[in-house]
Amino acid sequence: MTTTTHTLDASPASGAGSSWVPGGRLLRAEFLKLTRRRGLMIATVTMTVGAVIAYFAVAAGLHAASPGQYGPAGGSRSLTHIVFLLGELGAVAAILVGASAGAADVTSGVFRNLVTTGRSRVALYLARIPAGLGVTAAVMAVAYALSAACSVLFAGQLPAPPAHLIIAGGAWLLLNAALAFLLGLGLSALIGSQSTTIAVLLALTIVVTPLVASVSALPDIRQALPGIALYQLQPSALGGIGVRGLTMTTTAIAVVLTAWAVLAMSAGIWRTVTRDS
Amino acid sequence: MHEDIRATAASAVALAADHGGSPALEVSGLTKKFGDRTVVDNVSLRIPRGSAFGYLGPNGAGKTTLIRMVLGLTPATSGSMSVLGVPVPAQRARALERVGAIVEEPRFHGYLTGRQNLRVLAAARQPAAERRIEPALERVGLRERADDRVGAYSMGMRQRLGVAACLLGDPELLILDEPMNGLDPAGMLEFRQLLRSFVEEGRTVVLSSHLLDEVERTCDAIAVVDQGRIVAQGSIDEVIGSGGQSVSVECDDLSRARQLLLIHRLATDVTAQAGRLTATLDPRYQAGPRNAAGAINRVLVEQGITVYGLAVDRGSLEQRFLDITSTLGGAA
Repeated sequence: MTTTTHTLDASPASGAGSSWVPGGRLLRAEFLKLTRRRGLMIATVTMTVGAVIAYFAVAAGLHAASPGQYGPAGGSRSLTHIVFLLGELGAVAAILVGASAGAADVTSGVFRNLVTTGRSRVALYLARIPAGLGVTAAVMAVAYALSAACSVLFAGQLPAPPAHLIIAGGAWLLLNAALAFLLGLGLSALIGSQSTTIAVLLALTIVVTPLVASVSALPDIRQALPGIALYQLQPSALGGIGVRGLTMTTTAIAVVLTAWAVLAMSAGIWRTVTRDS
Repeated sequence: MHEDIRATAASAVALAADHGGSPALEVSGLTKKFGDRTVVDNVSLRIPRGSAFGYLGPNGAGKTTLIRMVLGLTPATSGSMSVLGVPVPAQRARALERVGAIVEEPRFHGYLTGRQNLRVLAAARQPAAERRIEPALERVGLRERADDRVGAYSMGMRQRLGVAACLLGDPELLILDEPMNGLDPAGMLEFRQLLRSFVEEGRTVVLSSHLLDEVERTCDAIAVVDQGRIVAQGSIDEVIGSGGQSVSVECDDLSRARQLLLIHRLATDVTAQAGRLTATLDPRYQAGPRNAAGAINRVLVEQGITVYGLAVDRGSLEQRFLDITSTLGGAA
C-alpha cells in the first residue's frame, strides 16, 4: 500500500445516481458479469449451439451410414425438430441466465456494494434486462442460424424450409427465450436464490405446463400459463399444434405473455428496491 | 514512529470541527427495531469532517446496523440522518456519491478479476470513477495482482480491494466496518498509515471495529456503543479519562501513605499490592493526573515518607471499553 498524498476533489455531488435509467456503463458491467461466468456460458452454449451441432451430427451420420433407412439431416422436418429442441433447451438456458442475472449480486454480497454507491436500485435492476436478453438472444441466434443453415444445406432431395418459416421459427424461439429469461430474472431477484429459481421454473416449463396442457377439463385456467400461450403461438408448420380443446386469440396470447413479463419485472424491481442488503 | 499516529490534541473532535461546514455524518434519535427487539436505540452522533472516528462496540451492539441505515441498506425505524450535509434517505444518491464504504466484509464476484470487479462498481458511479481504478489499485498495492481472480485473493487482499473500491468515488467520507479483519501485523500497520493519509487529505474516516488497540492508534475520537445505545463519546483521552485514572506509588511506608492520600482527599480509593499503592484519583484530579502525582509526592515527602517512584496510570481504551460494556451487561 502506498500513502502518497492525493488531493480531494472539492466539487459537489450531483445526485445523478438517482436516475432509474441504467446507462451504457451499467449495461456493459452486467454483460461482463454474465459473460465471464464460465460455468453459465458453457451450460448455455452447450444447451443451444451444442444441442444443434449434436442433432445434425447424429442425423448426418445416420444418413451417411444408412441412406435408405435415414433421410437427409436437413429439410423442414429437421427444422421442426430443432424448433422443438431449442424451444425446450433454449428456455432452460434463458432461465439459467435470468436466474444468474437476478440473484448473483445478492448471493455474492456485491449488491450491498452497489447500493452503497447511491445508485438507484431500479437502475441496478433494469440494467440486467438488456444485458441478459443480449446474452440470451446472441446464443439463441447463433444456435438457430446454425440450425437454419444446416436445415437448408443438408436438405438433400427434401424441400428446404422457406425463408418465412425460418424467420417465424426464429422469432418464436426468441420470444420463448425472452419470456423465460424475464421469468428467471424476476423470480430470482424476488427470492434471492438461483437454484430455487431454476428448480421452480424448470418444474413449470417441463412438468406443469405439459401436464396442464393435457387436461382439457380446465380450459380457462390453462390460458393463464405462459407456456400454454406460447404453444398457441408456435408456427403450425414447425410443429405448433396448439393445445387440445383450447383456442386463444392473438390478443389473449399477447395479454397473457405481457402480463407474465410485467409481473416478473415488477416483482423483481419491488424486491430489489425493498431488500435489506 | 508509527506507534503514535493518533493525534495528540486534547480534543480532536474540536479540532476537526474547525474544518467548518456541515458534519461528515450526523444522526439524531436514530432507532432500528426488528420486531420487538431494539437493535439501535435512539442514537445521536455528530462526526466532524476531516477526522478519523472510531465506532466501537461488542458484537451485536448495533454498530453494523447503524452503518447500514446510514448507507440506505436498511430503513430506520425512526430518527434522522444526514451524510455530508445531505439528508438521507431523502437524497440518498446525492449523499452517497462521495462516500466509500465497506460493510461487514468486502464482498466481490470471485470469478471476476480485481480490476473487473472495480469496473463493475465504477459503472454504478459517475464516469470519473472509471479513471480512478488504476490509481486506486496502485494506492492499495494491488496493481500486480489486479488481473487475478478475486476468488484466489487472501482476506487481506480483499480488504485492500475493498478500500480501492471505496476510492472510486473520491470519497469525502469513508465508512469502514471492521476493515482490519484478516490483516497480519504488517498489513495492519500499512492499513493504519493508509487511513491516516486519507485524513491528512481532508477525508473523514469512520472506523467501526472491535480491535480497540487499532482504533486507539488510528482514530482521533470515538463513540462506544453497547446494546444499541451510545455509552461514551469524545476524544480518546476524554473517554479513557472518564473512567477514572490512578497513580501508583512506591514508598517506604505503605500504610501511612495510604492514610495520608485518603485524608488529603487526593484519592478516592487506595489499594496496596506487591509493595506499592494504587491510588484511584479524586475526580478533581482526573483532568490533570500529573498535577495529582505532584501533590501526592509533596504530601508524602512533607510527612517524612521516602518516595521511590510515582507513575500515572493513564489506563487503556480496552480497560475503559470493558468497564463500560461489562457494567451495562451486568445490569441487563
